Amino acid sequence: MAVITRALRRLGLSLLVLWAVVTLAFVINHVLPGDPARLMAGPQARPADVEKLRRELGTDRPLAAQYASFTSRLVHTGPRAIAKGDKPHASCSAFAIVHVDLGVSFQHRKPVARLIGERLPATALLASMAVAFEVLLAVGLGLLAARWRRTIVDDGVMAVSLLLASVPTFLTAVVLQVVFAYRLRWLPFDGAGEGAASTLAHAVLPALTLALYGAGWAIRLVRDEVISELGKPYVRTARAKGAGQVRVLLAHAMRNVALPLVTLVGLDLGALLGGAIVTERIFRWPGVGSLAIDAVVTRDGPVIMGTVIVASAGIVAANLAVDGLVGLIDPRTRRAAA
Amino acid sequence: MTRGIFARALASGRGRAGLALLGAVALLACVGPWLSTHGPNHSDFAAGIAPDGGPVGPCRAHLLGTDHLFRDELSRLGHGARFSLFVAVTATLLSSLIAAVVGTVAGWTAGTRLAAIDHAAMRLVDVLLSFPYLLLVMAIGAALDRTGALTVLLVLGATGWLGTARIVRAKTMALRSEGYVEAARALGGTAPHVLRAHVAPNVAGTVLALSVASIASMILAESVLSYLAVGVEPPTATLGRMLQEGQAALTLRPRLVALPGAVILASVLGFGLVGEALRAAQASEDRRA
Repeated sequence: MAVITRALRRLGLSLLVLWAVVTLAFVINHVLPGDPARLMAGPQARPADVEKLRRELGTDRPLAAQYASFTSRLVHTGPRAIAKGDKPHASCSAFAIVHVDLGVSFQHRKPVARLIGERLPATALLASMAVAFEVLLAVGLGLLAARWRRTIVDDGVMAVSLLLASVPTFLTAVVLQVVFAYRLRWLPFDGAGEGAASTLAHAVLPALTLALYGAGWAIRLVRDEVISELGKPYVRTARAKGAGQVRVLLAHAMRNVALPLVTLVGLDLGALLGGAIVTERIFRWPGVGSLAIDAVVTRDGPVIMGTVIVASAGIVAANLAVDGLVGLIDPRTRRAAA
Repeated sequence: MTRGIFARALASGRGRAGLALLGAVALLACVGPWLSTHGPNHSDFAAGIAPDGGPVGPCRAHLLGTDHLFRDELSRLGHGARFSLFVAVTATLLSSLIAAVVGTVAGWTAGTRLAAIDHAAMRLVDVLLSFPYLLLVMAIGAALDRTGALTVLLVLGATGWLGTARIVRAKTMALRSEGYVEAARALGGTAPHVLRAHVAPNVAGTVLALSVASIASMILAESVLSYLAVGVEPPTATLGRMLQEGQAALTLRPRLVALPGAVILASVLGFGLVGEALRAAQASEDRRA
């Protein structure tokens, strides 16, 4: 029972956070100067035309009314399939009977939810590949440093991890492009490619860029946690019972390190699902991040708001999922939490 | 107390390596513009052009060569480093101040009759942490038309205090149950007095260590903003923008990417190393106490 109330409370808080983010995004977008109708009509437009456009976009209404209509349309129910000429649901994306409506892009003249939906698969692919690389690097190098701690191996790994955490992603990206795409010609320079194999090949360098930055932190986490686990009594018992070094590290210590690692990596995944702005831009990767930066450059308010909301939803969902996963992995947390 | 931590941090290998890197960057920021005879935004069409029509490499007139607009690279690097350091340090001052105030007040009120204050502060942190701040900064920058150094440092300062505030809150909560704090309260010390005389000095070391590390992330953030061209307007020299401009001729003149990249890396690593040394010193101080 306590588990259920706790989960419900947690869910409620997350929804509250999301609502606050939506409101904040709306306020920022509408308080800042800049008139979308003016921008869309162009500098040569007659005042009457700008006025007409303003009425069409609904930006002539009071802020409170705009906020009310935006939030009430954001998530609502509707018919399963949206018919072609269905005006009230024209800018919705339907998931069964739940509709998400983020408004219409000024620039693309398309529903924002559909624009983001088209970009999400690419971003999700990039994010999951990045996280996979990050875990491989963290576990591999972290175990190496912990096994040979206070030796030159440990010092080397720690220096590398600090370096990785200090390099801005745009610099990593450029170095990877020069080495692997320009000099060695192993992988494509940028773009997205067509077909599964080509898409995967195009995703490697951007995913590696993101993974290297995240790994800087993750390697240290694994190393520190493994070292602290190795000092615990159960490891001594395992050793006394004849477990070899590899078995102690992988079967005993690593299992306990999984917990903090899942937390760190899960939060990274959530943040990446909102689109990696810098990396996607450098590699011309057609994801949510490049949609967001295009929207900022063209002042496409609805798209900016939409990407902010989707990115926050990713972070909030990751927080929830990590909490749930930690509970599943570690039975102790279920009892201990009060 | 804080001085002891400094001395110990700087005696460690990490602290020294960090200081050496920071010294090099500071030297560049101070001396770089002075060593070059040309202003950072001055295109030298006489000595700055190579025979092939491109920017000239390192030579007597331009110690590190010129960039794609034939401006002196050394002078621009120096001014860029100045700008980075200035924005990062002032933004950190701002964010550390907010973090210290919010963290101690929240930690002090947590679990008391005033717990509502703590709840409100922590929910605010939750909301801001789930907000993609790079997008936020870009949107503000784009909407304001002209972004100056002030906009950049205000936005960075206003968004950079979240993690530190959480740690300061936890530390304050731990301090509240310490014997000497309880004694001070039992003797009739008012909350402002106890906070100022007993809590603040003990939180200061933690805030300091986190602040130095935060300067590193501020430099990273500023370089990302100027790289994405949503920071300060050109022609002002910033390291991120210099790198972005150099990228067009990456394979022809790698120096124009490598030099600003190296300066960014050196300053981020420098502050990161010193911050880590401070944190280690602070941790051993906490263990002793």
